[in-house]
Formats: sequence, C-alpha cells, structure tokens
Amino acid sequence: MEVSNLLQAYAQGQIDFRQQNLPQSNFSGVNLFGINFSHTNLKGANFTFASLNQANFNYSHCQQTQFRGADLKQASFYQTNLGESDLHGALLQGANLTESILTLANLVDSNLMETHLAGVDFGEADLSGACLLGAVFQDASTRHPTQLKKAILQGTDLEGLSLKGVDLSEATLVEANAVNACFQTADLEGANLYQANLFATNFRNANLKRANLRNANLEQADLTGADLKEADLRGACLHQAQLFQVICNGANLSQVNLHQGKMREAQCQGTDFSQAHLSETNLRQANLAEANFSNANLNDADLRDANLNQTNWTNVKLDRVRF
Amino acid sequence: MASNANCFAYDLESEQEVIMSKKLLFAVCRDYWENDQDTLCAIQTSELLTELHQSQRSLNEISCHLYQIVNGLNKREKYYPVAKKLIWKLSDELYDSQIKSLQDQVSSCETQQSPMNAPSTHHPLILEIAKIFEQDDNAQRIHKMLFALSQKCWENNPDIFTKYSLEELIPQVRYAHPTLERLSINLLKIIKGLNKQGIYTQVAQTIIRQFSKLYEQKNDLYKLRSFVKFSQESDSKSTQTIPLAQSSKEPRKYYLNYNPYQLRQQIIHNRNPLRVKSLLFYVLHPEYEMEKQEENNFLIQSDELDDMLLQLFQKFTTVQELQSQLESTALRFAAIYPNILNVEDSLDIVQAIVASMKPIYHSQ
Repeated sequence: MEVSNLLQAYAQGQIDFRQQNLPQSNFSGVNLFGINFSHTNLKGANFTFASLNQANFNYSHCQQTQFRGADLKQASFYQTNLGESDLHGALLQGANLTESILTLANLVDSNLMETHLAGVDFGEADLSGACLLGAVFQDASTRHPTQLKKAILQGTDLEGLSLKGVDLSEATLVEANAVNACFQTADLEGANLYQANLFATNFRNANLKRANLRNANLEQADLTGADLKEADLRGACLHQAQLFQVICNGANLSQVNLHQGKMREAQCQGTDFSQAHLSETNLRQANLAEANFSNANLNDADLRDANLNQTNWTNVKLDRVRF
Repeated sequence: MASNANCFAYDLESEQEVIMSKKLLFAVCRDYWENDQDTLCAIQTSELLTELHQSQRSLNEISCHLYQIVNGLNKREKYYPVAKKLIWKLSDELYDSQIKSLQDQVSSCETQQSPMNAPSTHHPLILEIAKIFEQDDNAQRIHKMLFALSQKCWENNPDIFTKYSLEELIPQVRYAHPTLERLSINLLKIIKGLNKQGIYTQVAQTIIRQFSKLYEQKNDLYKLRSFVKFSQESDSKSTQTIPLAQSSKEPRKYYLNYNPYQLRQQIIHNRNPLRVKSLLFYVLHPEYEMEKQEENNFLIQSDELDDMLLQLFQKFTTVQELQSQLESTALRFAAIYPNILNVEDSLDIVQAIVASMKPIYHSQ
C-alpha cells in the first residue's frame, strides 16, 4: 500500500491498516490518532514528530523505526519488535509496551510515565534522562521478566519503582535516583551504581556480584540475603543498613560507613573492611575468616560467635567489643 | 604526543619517587588505587601518559582529580609534593598550551589546599569561611555535611566528625569538588538521604553561598549545569539584567530549592519532551536559524533536557523575561513548523515551564 493512499483513506475515516507492508515509509509530522497498525511491517519507517496517540502497533515489526519526538500517548506496542528504534524525546505516557523488544533502542529523555513495561527486553537500550514515574514492571501474565541488561539508566529517576526480579546485569545506573525502589531478587551482577542514591532501597536476595557501589548512598537499605561477592562498595554509606545473611566474600568494603549496620550471619570471607566505620555493628555469627579490618573502627560492635580465623586486626579499634 | 610521553616517562623514571608518581598516574587513569608492584611494573609510565592524554581531560580536571586522590590517602603529606611535581611535569611536557591556567590552578592550590597532617597555614579566606560556619545557628549540621562530603560517609557522633576541624574540611571539600556544580550535586544527594531535608537544604545553601567565594573563576558560572540556581547578588532595587561576563567578581547567591527530577516531571507530564527541547533550544541559542530545523536536530538531541532547563535560569534573571522570551520563540516556531508544534501546544509548554519555574524565581 502506498503512503499517499493510506493517508487519503485515513482522512476519509478509515483507521484499520492491519497486516500492511510499509517498510521505510515516511509518516513524519503526520497525525494518525488511533490508527491500527497491528501485525504491520514498519521496519525503518519514519514517524518523527508524528501524532500517534492511542495508535495500535501490537505484534508489528518496528525495528530501526524512527519515533523521535512522536506523540504516542496510550499507544499499544504489545509484543512489538522495536529493536534499535529511535524514541528520543518521545511522549509514551500511559503506553502499553508489555513484552515488546526494545534492545539497543534510544529512549533518551523520553516520557515513560505510567507505561506498562512488564516483560520488556531493554537489553543495551539507552534510557538516560528518561522519566519512568509510575511505570509498571510486573505483570503476573507476562511470560518473561523485564530485561534491562546492559541498559543505560544514568541519572534516571527510579524513585519508588518496583523492579522486582528485573535483569539489570551490567546496567549503568550511575547517579540514578532509586530512593525507596525495590530491586528484590533483581539481577544486578556487574551493574554500575556509582554514586547512586539508594536510600532505603530494597535489595533483598538481589544478585549484586561484582557490582560497583562506590560512594553509593545505601543508608537504611535492605540487603538481606543479597549476594555482594567481589562487589566494590568503597566509600559507600551503609548506615543502619540491613545486611542479615548477606554474602560479601571477597568484596571491598574499605572506608564504608556501617555504623549500626546489621550484619548478623553475614558471609564475609576475605572481605576488605580496612578503614571502615563499624561501630555498634552487629556481626554475630558472621563468617569473617581472612577479613581485613586494618585501621577500622569496631568500637561497641558485636562479634559473638563470629568466625575470626586469620582475620587482620592491624590498628583496629576494639573498645567495648563483645566477643 | 608519543615522543613527548616517552621523554616525560624517561624523566619520571629517573626520579626517586618513581613508584609514587606511577601510583598516582595509575589512579588518575584507572580511577582506583593500585598497590601491587607487579601490576604497576607491568605497565609503562609512557602508556599511562598516553592513556591520560587520550582521555582528553583538561589539565585543570586532571590536577583536581589528582588532589582528590591524594586527599584520600593515608600518606597524603608525602604524596602531596609528588602530585604537585607531577602536575608541573604534565604541564611542561604534555599540556604546554595550558600552562598559564595551570599556574593559576597550582598557585590557588598552594594557597588554599591544606592536606590533613601536612604542615600548612590556612588561607585567610578559609579561616573567614570557617568562622562564619562556626557562628551559624546550624554550625553542627554544617560540620556534619562537610564531614560527609569529605569522608564520604554520614556521621552523627560529634566525637568523630569534630576530629576534623572546619579549617581542614573546607579545603578538602573544595578540592574534592572541582566545580560548584559537583559540590551541589553531592550536597543534594546527601540531603535526599536525610530525614530533616528542609533544615539541611538551608545548610546546603549556606555552604554553597560561602564556597562560591572559593570558586571565583568565571568559567564555573557556565559549567554550572544541575541542581543549582544562581543569580547575581546585585543591588536589589535594580531590575537591570547584569550580563554574566561582567559580573564574575560580584558575590553570587546559589539556590538549592528544587529537585531537578521533580522539575522535569512537572514539565513533561502529558507533554512531548523533544518538542520541549526544540523550543528550549531556540530560546537558549537564538543564533541558530529556526528555518534550519533539520540541520539543528542533531544539536537539539545532544543537549540534555535537565541541562537546558538550568541554562534557562542562567539566561533569564526574572520570570517575566523568561516567559516573554519563551512565548515569542514558541509563536515563531509554531508559525514555521505548525506540524511539529502548533500554537496551542507551544503555549501549553510555555505555561508549564513558567509554572514549574516560578516558585524557584519567587524564592529568590
């Protein structure tokens, strides 16, 4: 079907253009409110600044499609392939992207407020500066968890969002704002959370192996059962954080502030706590074998029943410690 | 460049402090501290220098980074002269075009930098700021904030944070934050994690107001991109706009009274971010011809929305001026590109920007 014929038909009131073959078509700046493009091949098409509010793209092929600055409010992209598409600055508020593919897509500065993102594959997509307020990542009916593997979320606002079970492995969350967010059971292996604000964030049973959490604010965060093996937490603030049964064998926690932290039954074999502030920290029954506490402050800490085999205590402060 | 790096490396290798220099170079290139001799020996100094040069960082940025690293070391008093020498060598061999600005930087560091445990006398300006902080109603909170900025951890116990005097913390914080922007970002991050955010926002404003005296380079005004609103503290009765370039010596006021995430949310709620950015681009850069929108697209997309919003504050000193400029640009844009932005939508964007920013202007 020719674009001119389609536009003419639309102007006459037709909105159903399902199962069309329209690759590389140019619809830039056109108003196609409510159009039905489901099951349509739109690969490489150009919708720059087009008005597509409430449009239906379900099951369509939109790889490498240009949606820069497009209005896509409440549009539907269920199971749509949007791989490598350009959605820079697009308005997607309230859109349904459930189970769509957005690998390598450009979503910089896009409006993703109140979107439905369950089961979406954002692998290596760039979401820098995107606004995700009120976005939903979970839906019991989706077949796969949301994938944000290697995605770029630098400076992105994730405050209060639930990203439970989401794959964020190797994702970039530098300076992201995730206060009160939930990453329970999420996969953050190798993720970069440098200087992220993670105040009171839930990381219960999350995989944070080899993650970069340097200088992150984890005050009052819940890391119960999280796996922090070989993670880098240098200079992080873990004041009053919950680290019950956390696994941080081989992790670097030098210079962290763990004042009043709760690390009971933690696995800390070979962990570097040098220069860390651990006063009033509960380390009962923790495995601290081969851990390095040189120049650390452990005043008033609780070390009862902890495994202290071959622990390095050079210049450590141990006033009123309970052994 | 390669030959320069080799000569420089050779020169460094002949120095006694070769390992210390190499550790510093390694840290500034790789962003972590390496003590393992095998790892250090495995890499040539010339390789590190080439890497440093290819990073395209300015000498100013490198020197600030170096001092930041040194400040975090136990043996900082020993590393400080090595770092200083390293910067001079870099300036001579690799960055000769930037020598002049470096001289200013080093001289400034010499007068204001006071590494802990190093024999030093404090700069009068630092003493003055410390005195102002001590006399402030929120003196202890200021001390806590400066401690958090310097030591990267929050400390409520006065016995611990007062071990670091204000005269020590002020220069440490100054050199850990090469720009006021960076300082403001880190202040805001700390505040967001605290319960008494209102009080600590006031504390942050006090810190920024005083620290602005330590950042008196004009360029900092232009580098200021996020979180901070500034204006000239000029004659309050005068409504005349003072161009930034003329006012670098004026004392400045800084504001930390808004959340950039919230500002962005308010403006783009139910609106198209790229349309907002297009409009902002022509307000901020009237030198670009609107008729060449296709050519300007790349530039528009390379700017971040957050940065553009802050630039608006930098450009317009009153909300009336901001509104007037936004409206005239919006109407002109809508006339040329009605299919991208019609009059109704463009005025809706203007209204949203003005409504979101008005409280910030009014709080001045």
